[in-house]
Amino acid sequence: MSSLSKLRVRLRVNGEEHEMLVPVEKTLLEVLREDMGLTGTKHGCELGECGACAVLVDGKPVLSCLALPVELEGHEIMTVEGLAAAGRMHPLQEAFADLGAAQCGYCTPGFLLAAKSLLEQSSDPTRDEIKDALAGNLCRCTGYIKIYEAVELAARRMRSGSETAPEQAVLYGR
Amino acid sequence: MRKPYFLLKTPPTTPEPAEKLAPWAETTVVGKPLPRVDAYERVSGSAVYALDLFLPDMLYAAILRCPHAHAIVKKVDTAAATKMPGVRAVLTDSDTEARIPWYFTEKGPTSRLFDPHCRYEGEEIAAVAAETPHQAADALRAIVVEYEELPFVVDLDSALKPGAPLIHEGGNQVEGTLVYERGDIAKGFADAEAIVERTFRTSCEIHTPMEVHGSVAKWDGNRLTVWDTTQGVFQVQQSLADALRLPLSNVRVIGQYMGGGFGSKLEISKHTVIAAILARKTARPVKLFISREESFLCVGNRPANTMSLKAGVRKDGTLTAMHLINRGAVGAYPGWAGVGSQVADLYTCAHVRVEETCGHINAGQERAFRAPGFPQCSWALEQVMDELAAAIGLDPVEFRLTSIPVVSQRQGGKPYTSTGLRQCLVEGARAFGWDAARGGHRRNGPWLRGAGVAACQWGWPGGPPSTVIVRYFADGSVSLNMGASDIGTGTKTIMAMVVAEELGVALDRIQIEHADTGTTQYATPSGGSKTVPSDSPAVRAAAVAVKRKLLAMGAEQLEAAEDEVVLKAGEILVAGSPDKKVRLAELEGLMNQQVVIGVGHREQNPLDKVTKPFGAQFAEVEVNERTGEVRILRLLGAHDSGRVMNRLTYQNQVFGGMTMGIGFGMTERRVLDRQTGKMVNSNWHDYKIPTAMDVPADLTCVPIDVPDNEFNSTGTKGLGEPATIPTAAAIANAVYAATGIRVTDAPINPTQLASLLADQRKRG
Amino acid sequence: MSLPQFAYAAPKTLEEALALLAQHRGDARVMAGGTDLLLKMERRKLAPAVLIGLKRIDELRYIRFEPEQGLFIGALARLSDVVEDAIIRAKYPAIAHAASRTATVQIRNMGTVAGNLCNSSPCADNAPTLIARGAKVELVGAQARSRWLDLEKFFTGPGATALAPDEIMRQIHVPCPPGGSAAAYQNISARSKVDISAVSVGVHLTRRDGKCHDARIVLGAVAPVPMRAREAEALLVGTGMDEDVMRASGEMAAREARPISDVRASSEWRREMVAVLTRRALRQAWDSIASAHGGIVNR
Repeated sequence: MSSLSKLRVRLRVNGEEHEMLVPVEKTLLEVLREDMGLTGTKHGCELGECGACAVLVDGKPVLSCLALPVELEGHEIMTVEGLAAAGRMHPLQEAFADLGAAQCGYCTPGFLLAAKSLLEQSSDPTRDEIKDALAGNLCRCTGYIKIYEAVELAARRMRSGSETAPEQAVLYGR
Repeated sequence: MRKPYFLLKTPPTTPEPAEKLAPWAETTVVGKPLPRVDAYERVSGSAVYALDLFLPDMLYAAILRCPHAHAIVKKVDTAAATKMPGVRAVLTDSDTEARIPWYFTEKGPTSRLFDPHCRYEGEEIAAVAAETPHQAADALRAIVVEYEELPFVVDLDSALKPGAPLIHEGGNQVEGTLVYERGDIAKGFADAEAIVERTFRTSCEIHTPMEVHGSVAKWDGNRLTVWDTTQGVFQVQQSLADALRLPLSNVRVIGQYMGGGFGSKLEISKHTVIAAILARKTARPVKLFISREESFLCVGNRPANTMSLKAGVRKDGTLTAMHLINRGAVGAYPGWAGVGSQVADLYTCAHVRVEETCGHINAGQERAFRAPGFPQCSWALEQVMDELAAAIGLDPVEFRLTSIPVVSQRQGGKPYTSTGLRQCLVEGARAFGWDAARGGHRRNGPWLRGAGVAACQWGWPGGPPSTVIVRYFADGSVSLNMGASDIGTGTKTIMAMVVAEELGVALDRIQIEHADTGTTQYATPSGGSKTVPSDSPAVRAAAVAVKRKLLAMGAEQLEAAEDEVVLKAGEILVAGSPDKKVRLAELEGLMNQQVVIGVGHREQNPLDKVTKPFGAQFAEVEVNERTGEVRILRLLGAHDSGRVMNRLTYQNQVFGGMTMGIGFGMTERRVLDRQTGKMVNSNWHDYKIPTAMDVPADLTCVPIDVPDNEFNSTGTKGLGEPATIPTAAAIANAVYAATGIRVTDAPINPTQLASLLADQRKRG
Repeated sequence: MSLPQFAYAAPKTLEEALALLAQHRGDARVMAGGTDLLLKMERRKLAPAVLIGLKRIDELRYIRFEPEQGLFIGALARLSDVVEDAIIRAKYPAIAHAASRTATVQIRNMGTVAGNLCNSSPCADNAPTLIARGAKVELVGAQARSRWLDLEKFFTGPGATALAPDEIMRQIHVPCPPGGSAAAYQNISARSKVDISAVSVGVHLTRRDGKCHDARIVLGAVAPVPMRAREAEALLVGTGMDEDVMRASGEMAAREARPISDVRASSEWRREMVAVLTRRALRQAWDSIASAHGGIVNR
């Protein structure tokens, strides 16, 4: 059925303007994945339960499965594809890779973006702050520990502005 | 339809390797904590999962499911749906091509793709393919179905009573009660100085991997390609070929990146076949993914069990007898909900009897779920072990140490190739600070603290078949070609490390082709914690075959005997003649051929021995005596899984397994409404898997790194499943230590525990 | 899952929104953050023909504190805005805390406090403290007809409110906290640390001459709507708020509660938790009055 109303929507995603005609009932998740080819944003439940579809809007994580593109005109949207800059992975991506914080990887984009927002507010978050910031993202593989450690490692690297090797205890267990 | 590999009585085999490889004496790559070789893809969003595939001209399909727990479909009217905008095909049981038998027992099929007899909420009625997902969803709503609702039963106790609504004509009991017996339990109990008897219940748990299940199907003439969310591409290929009557050569299944399965993606699901039929019918590619809510209903679960366990012990710690009576609900279709193997095998005990009865209820079929049956058994067995220890005044660790077998009693008394159970208990207890943690009750306001332990064994060792090809290119880079899936566990990384170990090539110069029936070699599905022990020896054999050929080329070029040359740091050297050497890049034979190929097969498992992974876990908790809340303060896993191939992926498996164990023990429970027969919590709002807030910050693991060189050439055993087996029981034992309350029903939620605590206060 | 079809309107003023609502009477729904409404639409529990998005109405996006009158929370103020607002954190910490206990960070970045109230879930985290603090809500109808209602009277049943079909909630007003007063919020879930509250309690206490001068106890998720535990309140007034009084008040609140058993928790446990959480919240509020005023308030 042709939609009751297709709207011309102008979205700014990962720093680029996109203009497109989309049915108004398509969620941001659907538009990102189906119309813009940004499949790094994952479909987990489409019911606001899991955080797999999280993207940043003006730097804050939101659920793209419960967002309408038409309401996001004039806002800055960032997906996982926008994290790497100048051919270099974001320190969070590097830390997630280094520590095995991504197992099947399906929840990873949502975690990375939630963590990015956290680190922008707090350069040295406590474990409890990390937990609270990531509590809306479900992961069925990792047990979360490696994810916390990766956020902490990325924070350390970002603070010192340099590469820091993971601590032995983190790599080998205690 | 062919049986899944794990139901085959005699597993298939591959040819014996030409040479028996000696165990690695020392390793340079294997064992290191190396990041995943595909980590970049997994953190950048560039990994393409099946749902991320958008093919030109692709249609979207969706399935109409029965809303009733038990019903007969009298009529399906698709007239309106067929005429809806964008609808390209509607498929129902009236289409002869959809009349495909499904859900098999030994005797044959019990149902078909769109069976008019719907035996659970969620059963498939019809499917639609349309131009957009929204159009497909709209069309489903336009299909009019006339149902005759039938009486239903959603708990096993009621289902097995006479007069219960019949789910299958032959009755609700799955044929036969399985009985295992050794010795004479009556004699054993007579010899006992203390006896414990108790009934335990576990709840039905749903896999819920982050990625929902689905397939993209595309035909080229009579050749079918399917991109699937599967743990085993060859399993799906076989099932598709059988269902659609195609030769294996015409069915290609690809499943490279997948977002977790935990057993729910071990076998084919109906939606995959439906996608293929719709794609053929429309001559267009079709994407069919189920929704999150559907995934709670129809792609498997860990069945709920009721287990009565009686065990006797002598004061010196000798287990004299164990008697387990288990009942498990397999759902509406054939399955098994047995749990008994650890009772029969984990501890030395002369007299054992296990009786297992399974039955049908009007709910989705069970499916293998991370160590099927084992966490349930641990829940009962390890809590009873805890009680027995208390009854004879032994420390729970000490008590377990008195009963560690060196042979498999369950499998004819054959010795184990290795058993690290003792180290798991001893080294785990030391690292945990067990003695200090057990030292008396500690109270902190309303919070009571206690520590508990549980041990485990896992049943599937892995083995053949597995065939792997390694190609060595002229520039010294390598291609590794294997059929196994990497379901997030790090399979690709570990296999590449094996190649790197043998050929001295850097990991970033190894290209991996995997999980594609069109281009890679047969492998069993990645499940059963057997991928590393099954496939890594084949990888090693293939790499060694390449090495032998390179050495032969070097020997010829250096005019030396083959047994005089060695491969070291990219050069072939002649022992004792420092001048006689050639760099691999200058190897004439390699230059001439441009590629050297090695084929490796998995060797047979030793016939006269048995292999099992072992583990022990330790938990410390605090319980709020008023609210029943449980804080898990610490969890430690010590696991014997043979050689530790990669410390990082090892930790991943243990932490992930323990966290899933927390879910099983603390939060996860399918709730079926007795009034309607429907699942009331088929979503993550109401079905609770552990979140970041539910996992203790202090989660640690102690690798028991003992290569099992008798088992295979890499010395490896499985890990992913053992890591989830004893967690819930260790927590329950810690709760007991804290409160004196034995929680018999999983999950231990605050509601239950607060009520038990209140009862305890009333009793004084 | 997919959303049903609808037409979307994005008015720029409240007046336009009200006109649209009147025009599509019965077929339209107003949407602020969308986290509740779109979820219900995904699940096909609702399929309005028209969605009136409020996000472009800048006049509704504010959190304002006026020293004489108190706090005003506009309809578009998100939960995270409330959590982070410096004045709310300083003067109404329990309201900020309750907002921080609502759902997860992603939902808090989308959902609004007004939306949380209009959704009228018995377990809405923000209602108990707001009611305890004497909040009122302003409902505006066609021709800009405005009325103020005590928040306590706003809820009429699960999912039902006093909001007329042509009305929109413009703002929430919370009076200035009286001198020597404090509020507290406690909640608990029976299933997981990240869950909808199975029981919640918001309290407000005023202390005068070392004694409890005024007490309000509001219970969430234990009745069809958030409810005052008036008998439990009465036990406190005039007392020195010792441990026994607080315990007795908690137990009275538990008797007043009317919890049900559902997939989240049993009624028995909920009742028991009312007693525990009420006592905890009373203790927390009373202690914070003492610490904020050195124990010599309004001598």
